[in-house]
Amino acid sequence: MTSAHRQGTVLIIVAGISSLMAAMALTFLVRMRSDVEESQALVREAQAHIMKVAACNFIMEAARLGWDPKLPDGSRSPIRREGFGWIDVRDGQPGPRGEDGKRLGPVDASGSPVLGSDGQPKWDQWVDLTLPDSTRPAKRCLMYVMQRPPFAVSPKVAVNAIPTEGPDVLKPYLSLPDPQPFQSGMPSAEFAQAYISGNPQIDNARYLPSWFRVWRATPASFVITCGVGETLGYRNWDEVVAANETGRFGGPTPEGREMFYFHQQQEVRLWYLVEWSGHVASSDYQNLQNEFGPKTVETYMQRPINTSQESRSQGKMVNPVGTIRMIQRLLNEPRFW
Amino acid sequence: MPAVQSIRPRRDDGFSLIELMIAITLGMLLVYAAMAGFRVASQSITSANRLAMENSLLRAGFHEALNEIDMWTAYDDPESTIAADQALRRAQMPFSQLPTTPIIMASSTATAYVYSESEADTGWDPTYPWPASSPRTWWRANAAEWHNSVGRSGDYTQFATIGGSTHPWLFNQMDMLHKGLGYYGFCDYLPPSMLYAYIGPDPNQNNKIDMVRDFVNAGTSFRNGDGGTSFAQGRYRCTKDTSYLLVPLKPLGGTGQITTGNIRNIYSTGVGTNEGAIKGFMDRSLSSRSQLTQKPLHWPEIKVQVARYVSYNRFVTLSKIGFTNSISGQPLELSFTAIGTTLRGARQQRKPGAQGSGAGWAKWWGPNEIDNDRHLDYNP
Repeated sequence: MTSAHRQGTVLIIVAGISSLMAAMALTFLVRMRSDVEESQALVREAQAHIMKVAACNFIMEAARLGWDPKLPDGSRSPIRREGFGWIDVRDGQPGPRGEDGKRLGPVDASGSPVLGSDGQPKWDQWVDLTLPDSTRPAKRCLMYVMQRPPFAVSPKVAVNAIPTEGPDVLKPYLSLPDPQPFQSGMPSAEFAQAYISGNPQIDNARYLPSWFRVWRATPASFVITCGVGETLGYRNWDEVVAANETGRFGGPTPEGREMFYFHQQQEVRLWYLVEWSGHVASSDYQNLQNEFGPKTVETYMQRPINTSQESRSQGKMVNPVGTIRMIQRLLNEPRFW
Repeated sequence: MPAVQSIRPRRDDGFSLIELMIAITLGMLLVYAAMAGFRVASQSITSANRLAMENSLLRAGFHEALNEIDMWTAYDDPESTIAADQALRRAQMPFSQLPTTPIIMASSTATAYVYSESEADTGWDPTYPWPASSPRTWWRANAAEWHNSVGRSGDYTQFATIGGSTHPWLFNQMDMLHKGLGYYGFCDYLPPSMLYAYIGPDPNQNNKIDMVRDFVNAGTSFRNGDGGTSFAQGRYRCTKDTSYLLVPLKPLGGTGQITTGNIRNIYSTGVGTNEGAIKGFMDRSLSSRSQLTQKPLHWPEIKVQVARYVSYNRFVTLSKIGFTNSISGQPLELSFTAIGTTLRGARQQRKPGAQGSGAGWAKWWGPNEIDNDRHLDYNP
């Protein structure tokens, strides 16, 4: 065997071993990639369940809050309006209605309620049960992570930590409001507005295209759709066109439409039927041996909700704006959502 | 005659012994290095595969847990034709058929929804939202009264009683719900502002018309002993330091735990509890369904467990995912709570049918659609 032959043999052996290791490395990478893809699918599903909670919170809050007049230019009027529930707790009529019993809805440029054909203020279309099921739209809410949400507060825990040195050592002054607004180095002149409006731009580092839709089915029941995917909650291409959002999918072309439905096939969607109730929490009584024993002094004493001095009344009440009384995962796509 | 050619071999015609030994040694080193490299790579692949499989199982377990939160198949498998998979459809169990009532579909007009409600209605109506303004949903009794009342503060049975009173509807509903579904279902179906007691014939008092003792007396089957206070309380006080639970189809403590008594009892889970009480609680409430009944021996054991109970006025769905590493034996467990389908929602997901009927899932298309399926709460 010549030297050249030996070199060739070594080359073949080395090449064989290298290709074997390369194949194993490739298998490893493919396996890892597959794992990551499967994990991403699971993350999306878990995120869709979180959207369910967000949608329930939205329904509960919208029963009473968020109806301050919003002027056509997007600004809010200083008037504050409060609703009395999806079924008004005062008279049982569909809500939300304001302190004056009138519907809470859109306003015109002057801030006056837009009136319907009956001469009464109108509701937003998604709230209005007088519209047929087939034409009543849904409320679509995007839930991406903002750079800084409105009214963001600092996560700092001990704002008024007791100083351990200096002239005020060990003095427990409550000199600063707690919690503190979230600071990001802006000039003080701009601070107040920045605190109120936040920075609603998408935080791309934590971007997961999450959304939910709420469709009002009856006065107190709603179909919620929880989704994670790039359709951003549009149900079909017609909705995208109507919202003038075709640019997100490549324009008003067949390719854009195809892109939208491609995203739709990839995303997670869950449907739920939920029921809101105006009932919140009970007022618990403390009647020691009530009408019998000698301890009758406490008869009819009532423990207020959220009391802090003792434990026999519910603290940290979670539902001051109503309760989600029933949740039902729907096993099929409902006709309206 | 030609000269005789020398037949001495040339030096490069073969190997010397030394060359051969060196070549063999180098060759063995090369093969050893290759084998070692291959073995390490192979072990790495094996470890990666094992970890990947564990991750896959964990993902599958998490997916199953998310699914269970909404589908309740650990409590009732509607597609199964095995009677034991619908054991909770028996009378007085959480998936039993409730008495039905003519449904009060709200009549929709241009401006209002009108519920044609009556105090005389009995049975459950899944479409009735219990408006807070509706007089028939108001609790009418003496909040300071206990059982065996002497009526010192007046005879409240005149206002509301099961039977002969002007407002029987609410107490009829309460009587039906706890008898039909157990205490967890009682809490799930009633509005959160309710006082959990009512006036009616009390079997513990020779059917005397009175505040039913189990719901007002401290330390009975519904009311905890908190403070020794014996009177109607809301859901927070009733579940302060104690819980009501649901028993799954395969509870940790065995199917013997599936009794009507276990879902009509209080369990000490808060201040003052002890290890034995918690163990008893978990034996009854935690499911123990195996996920991989025919897995290879070298695969890790994966389990997904769920427990549902009410505590401190919170409806808890506790999910646990765990597996044991088949090599190291190290257990790993992930537990979390989540909000999902409620008991009422789960009953509305299921078509009515006897145990083992495999009746299946009920579909809902919309509030006014005529092809909505019947379900456990609507089967006229």
